[in-house]
Amino acid sequence: MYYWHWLRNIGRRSYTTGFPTQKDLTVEKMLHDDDSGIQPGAMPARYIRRAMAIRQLDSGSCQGCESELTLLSGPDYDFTRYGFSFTPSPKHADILVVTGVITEAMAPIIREVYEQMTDPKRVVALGACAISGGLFKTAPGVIGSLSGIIPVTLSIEGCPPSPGDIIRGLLWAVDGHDPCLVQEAT
Amino acid sequence: MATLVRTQRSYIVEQTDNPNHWQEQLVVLSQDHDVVLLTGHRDQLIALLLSPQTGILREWQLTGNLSGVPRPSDFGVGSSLAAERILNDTVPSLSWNSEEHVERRVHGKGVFLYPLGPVRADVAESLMYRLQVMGDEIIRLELLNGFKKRHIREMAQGKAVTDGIALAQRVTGTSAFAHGLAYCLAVENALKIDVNAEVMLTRMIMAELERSYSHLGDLAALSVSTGLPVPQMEYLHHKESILRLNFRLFGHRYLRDVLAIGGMRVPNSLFQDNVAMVGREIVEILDDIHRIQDGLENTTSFLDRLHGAGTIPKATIEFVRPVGPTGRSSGRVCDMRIIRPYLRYPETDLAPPLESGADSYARFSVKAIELKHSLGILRRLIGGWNPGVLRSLAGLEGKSEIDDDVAVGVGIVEAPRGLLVYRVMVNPRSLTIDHLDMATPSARNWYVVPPAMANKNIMQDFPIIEASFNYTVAGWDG
Ligand code: SF4
Repeated sequence: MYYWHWLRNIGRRSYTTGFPTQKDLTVEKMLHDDDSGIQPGAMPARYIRRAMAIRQLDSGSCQGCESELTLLSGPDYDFTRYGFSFTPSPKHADILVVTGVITEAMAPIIREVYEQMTDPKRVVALGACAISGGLFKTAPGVIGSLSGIIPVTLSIEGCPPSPGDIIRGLLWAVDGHDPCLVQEAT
Repeated sequence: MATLVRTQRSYIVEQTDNPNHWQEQLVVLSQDHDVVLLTGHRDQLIALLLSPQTGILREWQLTGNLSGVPRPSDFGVGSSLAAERILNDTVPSLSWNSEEHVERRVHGKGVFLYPLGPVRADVAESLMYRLQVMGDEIIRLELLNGFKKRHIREMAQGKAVTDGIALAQRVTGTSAFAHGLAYCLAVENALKIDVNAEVMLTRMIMAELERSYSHLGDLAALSVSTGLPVPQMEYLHHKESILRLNFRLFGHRYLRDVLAIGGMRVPNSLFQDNVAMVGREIVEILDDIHRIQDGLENTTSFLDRLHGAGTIPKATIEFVRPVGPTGRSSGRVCDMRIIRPYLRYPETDLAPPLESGADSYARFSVKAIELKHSLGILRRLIGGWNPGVLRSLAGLEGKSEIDDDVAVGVGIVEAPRGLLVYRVMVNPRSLTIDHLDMATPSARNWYVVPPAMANKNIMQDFPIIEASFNYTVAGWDG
């Protein structure tokens, strides 16, 4: 039994997708419908080389965006191949990924975490909730958009955005251009 | 003095000035019933009780001032159970929370407070842990939630019933379908809408797909908490495979935007896929799951960390009555698919696992077996599934026939994390939601975490125990 799986795994193609720098129809089909999936905001002039630590911050999500983020470290997307990793400490973080609606209780904590991060830093608003409040825009105690609190580098639309969208957005935030353009050029 | 009234028929059960009489009534209620929901509506307090033996749901209404009335927690419903908190938030005048409530703390030499959160771990929801440790041993844990309240119950008020689905599906991401389903069942129950067998079958397939990917995610989290990335990666890969399957079949990875009241909003993608091929894929996943689980069951470093870690004390089990996999791993028969069959579950020969260890291993084992069962059910269901029939189905159209001011309905499902109940009051004329209540499994089960954590565990067990529960904060805060 063991050897059979071992042999089968040798013959098998890798699970990991080449997206966004290579074409992968399965992943591309799951991207946000239209081209407005990713909206770059004020891009900083200085770009950083890649060995990026990500601090995720949940400020009122439904946990769907977190579920997709966890899959990034799985074998299908394996975002470590681009040098990304999750970090528990804001002090180590280069990118802050905020998920969920911005509640009044979390707003000061978001500001605090942002202050704690060292420069240069990026902020990514992930999912409809963080971008505009989504369905909960008018809920009591919900502030609305993340950009009203801290400067946002880039927003990734979707509810939840697919892991493909997230990888594309993260690379965009780091490199300053759409990684899918590389795919078209080659 | 308060009164206890059976609603709908307005049958008065008890109306007395004698508080002792009250006590007797509540004792009777809580001993052979599971209290699933207790919440305020206007100036009334409503308790929904479910009998574990018969599965019959009863609705009781309390009116008036509660001073002098014993709090439900005195009779087996945890002192800080969500219900009482909800009541405190919604109708403070009708609550038991006294002002002189003092925070209990452990004091002594060598006791340290270890605050953790709300920003914590790698990818995690916002929740504050306050651990009190003595050396390495955890002697007390306090949970502070409420950082991410979205007020979903209030948001639903006044919305059209069809818009409520989207809201319900955003309570908890990895139980999105179960929430939508419970909501739809409640509305269909209120408006007396029947759905046909084919819709039920499709809903069942979706519910089991959701249970599978949710359990796969839990098992992945548990594997990595014990430092085993290989099974974690394999579980995550299968989770992704099922999410892709969801997308191919229903057009959404988390099965949102498909449900409709009285039917299904059938996506075009459903017909482009070969159903037989989906069946084959599920068999492949099932085979692989067997192999991974055999591997884990033979890894002593994994088993050693799980056995005896995070055992829920007996008193807590009786007090909180946990539901879902946690309940089944502590010896409680609590699978709603059996107790109170809905959709077409009676046709499946489902035998939910039952363990009595109440520790991390028991929870792992129950989830692992349930995952196999779910995939097994899927394999059988998909064989007899004909999505072509769904094409002609419409959802709720126009007005309902009920000519009344208000219609009340209840929907009960077994979500991946356990018993989930929705109760809606709708206006049948305008088809809007008057009031929405929900009891999520996480809101109830979180209360077993502190006693289980402070039960002879050390700090190194903390991530393992946390992963073995894996409840959602979103479902708790609501
Ligand atoms: S954007 Fe959607 S998936 Fe993400 S937290 Fe909000 S509701 Fe959940």
